[in-house]
Amino acid sequence: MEMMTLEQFTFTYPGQETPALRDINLLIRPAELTVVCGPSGCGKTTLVRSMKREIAPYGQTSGRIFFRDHELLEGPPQSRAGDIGFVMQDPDHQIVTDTVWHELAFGLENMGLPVNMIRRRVAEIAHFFGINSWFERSVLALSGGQKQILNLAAVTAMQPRMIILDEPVAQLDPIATREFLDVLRRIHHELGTTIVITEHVLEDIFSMADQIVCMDSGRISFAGPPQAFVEQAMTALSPVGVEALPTAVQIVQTLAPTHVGPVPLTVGEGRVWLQDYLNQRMTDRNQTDHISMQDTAEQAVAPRSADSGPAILLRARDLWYRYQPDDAFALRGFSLDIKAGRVLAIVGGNGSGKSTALHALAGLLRPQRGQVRQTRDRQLKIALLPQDPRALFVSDTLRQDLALFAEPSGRSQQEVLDLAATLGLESLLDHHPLDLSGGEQQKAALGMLLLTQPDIFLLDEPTKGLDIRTRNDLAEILTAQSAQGVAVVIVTHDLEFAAAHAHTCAMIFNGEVTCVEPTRSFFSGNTFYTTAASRISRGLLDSAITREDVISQCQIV
Amino acid sequence: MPDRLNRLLIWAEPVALLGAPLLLVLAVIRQVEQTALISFLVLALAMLPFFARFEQRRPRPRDMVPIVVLSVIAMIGRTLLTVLPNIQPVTAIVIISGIALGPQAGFLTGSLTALASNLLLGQGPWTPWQMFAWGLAGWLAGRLRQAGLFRRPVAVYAYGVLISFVYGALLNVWVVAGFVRPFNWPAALTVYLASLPVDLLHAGSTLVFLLLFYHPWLKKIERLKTKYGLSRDLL
Amino acid sequence: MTQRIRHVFHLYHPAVILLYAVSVLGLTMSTLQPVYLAISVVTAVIYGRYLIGWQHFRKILLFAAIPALMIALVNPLFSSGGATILFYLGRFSVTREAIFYGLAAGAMLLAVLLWFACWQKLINQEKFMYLFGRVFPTLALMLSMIFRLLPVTRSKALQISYARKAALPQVSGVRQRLKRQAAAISILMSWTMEDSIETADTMRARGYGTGRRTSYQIFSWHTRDTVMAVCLLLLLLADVRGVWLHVFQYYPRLDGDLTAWPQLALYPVHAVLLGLPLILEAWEAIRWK
Repeated sequence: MEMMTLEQFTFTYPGQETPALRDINLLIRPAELTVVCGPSGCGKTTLVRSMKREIAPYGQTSGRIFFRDHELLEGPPQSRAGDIGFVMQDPDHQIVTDTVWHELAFGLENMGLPVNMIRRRVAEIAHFFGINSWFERSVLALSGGQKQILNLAAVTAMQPRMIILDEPVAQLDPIATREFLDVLRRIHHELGTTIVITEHVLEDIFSMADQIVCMDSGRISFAGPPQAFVEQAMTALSPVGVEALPTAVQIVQTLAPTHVGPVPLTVGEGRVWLQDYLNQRMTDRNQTDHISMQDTAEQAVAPRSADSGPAILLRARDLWYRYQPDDAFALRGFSLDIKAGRVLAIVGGNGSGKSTALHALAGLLRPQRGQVRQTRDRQLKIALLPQDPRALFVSDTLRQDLALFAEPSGRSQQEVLDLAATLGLESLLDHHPLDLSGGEQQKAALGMLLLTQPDIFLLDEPTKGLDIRTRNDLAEILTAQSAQGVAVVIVTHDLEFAAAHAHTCAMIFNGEVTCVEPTRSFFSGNTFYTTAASRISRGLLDSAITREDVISQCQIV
Repeated sequence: MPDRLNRLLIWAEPVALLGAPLLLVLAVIRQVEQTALISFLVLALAMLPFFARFEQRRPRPRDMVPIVVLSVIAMIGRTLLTVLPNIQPVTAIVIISGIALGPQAGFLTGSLTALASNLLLGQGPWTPWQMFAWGLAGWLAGRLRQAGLFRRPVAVYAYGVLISFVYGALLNVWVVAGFVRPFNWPAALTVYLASLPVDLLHAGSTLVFLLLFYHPWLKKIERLKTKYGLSRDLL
Repeated sequence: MTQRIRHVFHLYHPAVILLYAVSVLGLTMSTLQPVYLAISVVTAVIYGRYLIGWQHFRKILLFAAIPALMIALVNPLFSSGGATILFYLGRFSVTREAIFYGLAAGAMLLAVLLWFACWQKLINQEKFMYLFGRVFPTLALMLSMIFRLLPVTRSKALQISYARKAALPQVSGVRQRLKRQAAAISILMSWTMEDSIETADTMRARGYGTGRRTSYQIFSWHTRDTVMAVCLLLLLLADVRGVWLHVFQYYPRLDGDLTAWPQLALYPVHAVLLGLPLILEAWEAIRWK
């Protein structure tokens, strides 16, 4: 028996002409893990929400959805709520109560289970997820990764037959992402739960999948096993965008488009393949000297950074800061130079003090020791893009919000319109900012801040939750800004983004900067905290840190 | 049966809310010995129909969260906007809640805000009084809007000032009724005069925050209601 | 919040603790008889000091003394009751009875305020939510959501203020600053509302509102709770009888026999009821010696 079947399912939002989902036929088999991918706005969230009756979007539907042997929209609702679990993107919004234990019990209470049964389940689940050590805690004390694991645990406690996850790791840092996916893998393997997960970056999840469903403007363009998906993607142009695929796949796809047999999906498989590929090339060319190959590669790749030139705008020296007198120091001897016309990425784990450092650089908090000094005679303009762009929207239309930021810096209406056009926002000017999609909101907030003509642009996790297309747009804007002499500082978990677009990278750990290096040497010097491309090519190629690096170096060989 | 109970509770609400202060006045005039104790019981009885009816309606989560959010914003505003002590937006937000979401939501926003902030800051005999007074402010605002009295914003501003003084008066009732005997006006006046500066600040800040928030927030909440299909009125 | 976890009384079921707290407050508010008042004030001070710690309790005492003093002064100043006129203050006569009534009323207010301070420690947030949730499950859930949202929203408020402070030019003047802050609060409201809709959806996704809810109680009822509840009820009955028998009139003339037999025997009942947690504590201390 299939777990879920969609037959010619079509869905249209109220007031819309074109359906958001069109003729969806899909089979979800028991105990399989299905990954739904596709760019923002392709309808994947609408699709997975339609699979859960309680939160199905409101609108016109046709076609049918079967859950096990009956139609999803029939039958007593109570049996359904527990049968299909749903985990959403933001870890914070899904937590209903204020303590971990109550959160675990919440769904069970709703099911009306007797008390001793709830206790037993809660205890079991706490053991399975390894959360017994923070069982009694308030949810405030948890990190984002722990919160998301709690959300998954709370859903799993209801013993669902199927769990749906809508971009569950989009808001997590790389380490927390891996931990979360490990737990998910355990649920899948040890409990045999059917899992449906949407994601636009496939790097970590791809190798776990039994079925890949690829969506494009409301239709399913592919559904099948991962290897078949890759094979198809290698021949036809994949709608997800090449960059969404795991790095290993991308490398193989470019270097050996005629590749036959299973395509490497993980970093490990990618390494093995690359080794073979290079050996093959070298024997072909009769070139056995590994060193000389590296030399050629070295010359071929233009150095990404030249750090002698640009002027320092901001100089932070030995900053110490704590929020409360009894707290531990969030910054302990933090020093950094911000240079004009450079993109600087500050990377580091959760709670390493990245955001605090950014706020200190912006002059928003006064360090207890040390100081941030501006090197110019005039007051420098600093703009800060908050983690959530919604922190900036006051008005009822985007136009008003842009005007609010244009006025104080004396920008004309025409300039506002021009900027909106470059950001691709001109058609959205009369929309309510909170009705925009995540990517559009990010661009809108960026636009508001650009109107203040900053000398220094600070961004807090700007790529969080963005799809590849929007990330590329963002990179373009930031590169253009830095070319005009603006100092851009990005605090980010997104190592791939930093590797591709930053001139300099700084690692922050425990409140201090442990190293500042040009991006290339930074990532090739790191062993764990680095990009997938760097991990694939370590020791095989010389300081290749992005997919493009690997490809261009290999092609020279 | 639940329907009949519901109808009974609808009817009980105004009776309980407006009857409670009357009952207290009666207790004072009749020189009842245990007024301090009795007043608590009266208050509890007055708030019961609201809580009971809300429970009995089995509200949808989407109708619960706006009330929760407005309470949270009110509590945060209480600490965030404190330029001077007693300048707080709670009353203004509770009034807006009553007007935008209906009398019952107004009542709950007011009483839950009071209950939650007292659970955090420390309980006292004032807890039920605050719950009652803020609840009344929100409920009455909702009722007056339904009666069509708030077509002009001036009426809302005036109501805000007035209800702020009523709030102050209600909080003093317990002290005067319970601890001044035999009841006499000069003594009551002294107690009220002692709290006049606080009440003036309260009324002033309610007016200012209504001027700042009333229009934009009404619009914002209206938008949310259409966007997310929230109930028109939590009646 | 430092709580004496070792405190024996905390081991009892919250309903038992509630019964104690309500009895104490109710009894304290129901009589102005001087001996009863004295017992109430003294036990409140001892227990409060034990429960809260002297450091903090000192402040509470000071804070509670102000309204108590005001009541003690207002009564004799303006009250026209009482037969024994002591002196005149302007056009107001000050009577002996009114002075005593004022002192008694002030003492009652003081005792009530102190017992409420103890209440806060005895019935902490968790216990309150449990008890409240038994009667009003939806409202208790909403309270719990409020507590959950508060810190999240506070950090949002900080994000908003940082983002705006960095981007917008400084303003001066109360009016402008207030406008700025109001705008920040408006952002906070809309943003939190949008996010909370998602919370509402998860609640539905997790089956909220589909049927009868049970409640995962973390407090269970033991035999010792039954024993304690019975003891408390018996003490309460005896004490109510005592309060009923000990009539004390302030107006028009002080009237009441404080040492009449057999009512005299009921004073200790009041002391035992109010001081019950302290007695348990002492008993525990002796057992461990």
